[in-house]
Amino acid sequence: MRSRRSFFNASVLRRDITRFFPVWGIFAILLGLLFLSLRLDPPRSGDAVVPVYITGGWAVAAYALVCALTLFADLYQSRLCNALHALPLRREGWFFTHSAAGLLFFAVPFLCFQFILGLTGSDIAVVAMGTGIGLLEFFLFFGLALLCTMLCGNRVGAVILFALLNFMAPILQWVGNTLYQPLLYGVPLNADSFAPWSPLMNLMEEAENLFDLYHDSFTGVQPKDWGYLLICGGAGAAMAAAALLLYRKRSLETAGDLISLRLLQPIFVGAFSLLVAVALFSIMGHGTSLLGLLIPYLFIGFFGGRMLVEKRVNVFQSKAFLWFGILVFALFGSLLLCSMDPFGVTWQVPEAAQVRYAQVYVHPYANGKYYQSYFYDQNRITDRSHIESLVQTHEKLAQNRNDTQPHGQMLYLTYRLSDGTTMRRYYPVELAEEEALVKVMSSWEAVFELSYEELSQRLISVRAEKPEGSIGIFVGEGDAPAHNDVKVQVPELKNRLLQAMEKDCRDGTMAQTEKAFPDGQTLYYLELTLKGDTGYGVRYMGVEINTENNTYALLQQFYDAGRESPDRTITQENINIGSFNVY
Amino acid sequence: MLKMCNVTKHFGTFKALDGLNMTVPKGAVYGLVGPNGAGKSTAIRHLTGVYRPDAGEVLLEDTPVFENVAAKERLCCIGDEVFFFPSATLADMCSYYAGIYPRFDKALFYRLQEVFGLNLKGQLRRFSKGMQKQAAFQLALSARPEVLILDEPVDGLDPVMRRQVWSLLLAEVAERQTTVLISSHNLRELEDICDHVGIMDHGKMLLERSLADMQGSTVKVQVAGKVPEDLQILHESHSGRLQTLIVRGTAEETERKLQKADPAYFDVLPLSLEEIFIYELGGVNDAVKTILL
Repeated sequence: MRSRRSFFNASVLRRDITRFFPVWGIFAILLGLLFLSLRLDPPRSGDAVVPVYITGGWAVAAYALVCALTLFADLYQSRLCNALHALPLRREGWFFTHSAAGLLFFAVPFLCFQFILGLTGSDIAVVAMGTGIGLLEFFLFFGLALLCTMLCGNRVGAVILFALLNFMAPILQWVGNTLYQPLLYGVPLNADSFAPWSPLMNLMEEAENLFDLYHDSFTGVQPKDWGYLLICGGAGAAMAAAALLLYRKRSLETAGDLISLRLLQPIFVGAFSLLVAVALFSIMGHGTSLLGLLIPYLFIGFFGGRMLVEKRVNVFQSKAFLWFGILVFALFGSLLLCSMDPFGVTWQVPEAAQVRYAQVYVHPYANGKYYQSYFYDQNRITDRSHIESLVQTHEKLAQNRNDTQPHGQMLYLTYRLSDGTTMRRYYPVELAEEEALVKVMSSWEAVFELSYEELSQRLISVRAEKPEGSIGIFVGEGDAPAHNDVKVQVPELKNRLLQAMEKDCRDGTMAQTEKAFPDGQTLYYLELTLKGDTGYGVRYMGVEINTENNTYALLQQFYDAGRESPDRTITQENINIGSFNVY
Repeated sequence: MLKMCNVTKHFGTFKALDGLNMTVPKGAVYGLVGPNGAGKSTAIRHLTGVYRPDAGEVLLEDTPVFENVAAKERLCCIGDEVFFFPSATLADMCSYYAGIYPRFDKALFYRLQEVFGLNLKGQLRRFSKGMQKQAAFQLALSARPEVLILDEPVDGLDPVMRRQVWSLLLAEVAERQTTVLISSHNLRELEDICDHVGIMDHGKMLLERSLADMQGSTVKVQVAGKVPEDLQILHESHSGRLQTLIVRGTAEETERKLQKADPAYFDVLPLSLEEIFIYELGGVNDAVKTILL
């Protein structure tokens, strides 16, 4: 029988607020201190509150977990649990009342903080947006925390589960990279496919996209990202609903158990076994020849997990060994399936005609690991002849598998195909033997993300540095070079540099080809500062150049002229390339 | 009024309740007795709607108790270890209970306050165990429950306080016909106040009777001489020529049989509650006997 008193109880809410005042009180004090810090520290005043909203996501997540664990603490202590649940209130009543208290614990101090920020000079639009972000983030994390609270029977379990669910992407990627990826020749695990499983990390990135942070100025709202935040808020509500269902089904005698839902216990034991096995495999030494060691590692994880779940050490029943056998079979079955490659994934090479554009990057060390690189994601090769060269090289590398410890370099290939899909591969490669590849990689498209004209228009300054020393050359406008740098401030010199770089691209002596040259060639690193949308220099590109190319020769000319100038001032007549100020 | 019908409960592989049947009549003072681990507390957690039975049902006047606010408003339970919020005062708990139990009687609460004399503003966790029990009684009685469930209610109290608790309880029963279920592992404690008793062991109800029925249906006979053959003897002992028999049957019926046999001497005596249980449960394990003695 239901009554109107069933779903909410003001007395319980009052008790929650008074009983747990240290929780929301400390949160309110911290917000007060944050306000003082923003207002008393001049460089962080005004719209500099924006980064607070973004980095504050971590605090919101932690606070949501604290609120959930505190309000539902009775579920973890059998005495308290029995006493409270004997009272005439339905579980929905406890749930909605405690949840309302949790929302108040966050919303009241946070809204006061926002209100005061607005009153004391912060941009109202920024404050309004920060309010929305904060509340939606809290919905997400409070919902997730409620779910973890209901799935677990003690605090430690809930905290671990909350952390695991928030960092699921790197964990899945770690497991995949450690166990499965070495069996898939040249096929990396796609990091993007794991990303949605890490709400905290993902949300931080998405929240950042809501603001233009480069010069502490709020520029507007991107609806796409608001949509993501709204989805997060909705996901929080959905998880809270799932938590309520679990609460209704919960057996209260599980107070103190690691996992409260009996159905989830085997899943926990399986996941725990796998994580322990992968951790031990990573620590004790890994490689396809050592895969057999996974069995003892799994054994430790499996029976350790059972001990945690069952809260006893005698867990070595014959039925448990049967389940352990199934787990071993499942793991090794999946590994075998991977290595057999029944779908021919490792042999796949796209048709050149299907490739909309390609991205290519070479890492100097072929240590078998897959890296994601800034360069790798920036360039776009659309030239059909270059794409055909890449596909041919790809086909050759996929056929001639080099399963031994790779030397040389690692080639990273990404194809964006005409059907909208993406194909990524990586192979060990000896550039010295791949002339066609070197040519492609030195092309303007492979080195720069912008066309020559666009780069010319947007280039503000160039800084060149030798990796082994502190010598630097600065070419550009307005910015001050670091100590011991040569500064070249004539705009025409930028054009001469661009022309030299363009010639290197044509000659095949430009960036990314360093290992194709004999050892001992000193590299320079060029950092290009580009003009952003707001007219300021905000975007950076990095380019590596070799001592055997035109760009290097020009930079060396600049540097020598600056170093040899007796009065540390060089005129255009001295070297016939422009005027210099030497510091 | 309060019933458990074939209730089974497992904790993992352990069967805590094994088809438990219990009937607490309206207005009864029911003593639930059993050794440690018999399942008394588990049964009480089912009666108060905390645990969900794996099988069977728990009913208060034919409506399920579990997740039934209307039923639970009529019940109040004092556990073996009373619970209060860590920093709460008695006044805090009074307002908390008043917000949860619709029939909470604040006037009664303050009347009981005069009886117990506890400090309303003192933190309950600083009270002695006996004072905490008193506070729990004060709150529970003020909730005006129709059924009061007490798990080891006088455990840890001194004799004076025990007597005060029992007299309060009996006054409540007399005044409001409150149904009371008291769990204890000590039968002697319950003998003076219960009118119904149930004995549990290994999650089962071994015996459930009204005291009047039991005391009327079993008698102790001391006899010298011929013993009638049609007596249903539960137990016998000898001391010289004198035999002491525990006999099933009413005093009148037994006396008539003895007169018919005409022994040299006989006397029919009533049994104490403890003696009845010992002889009724003659086949039950030692653990049960221990709690009775």
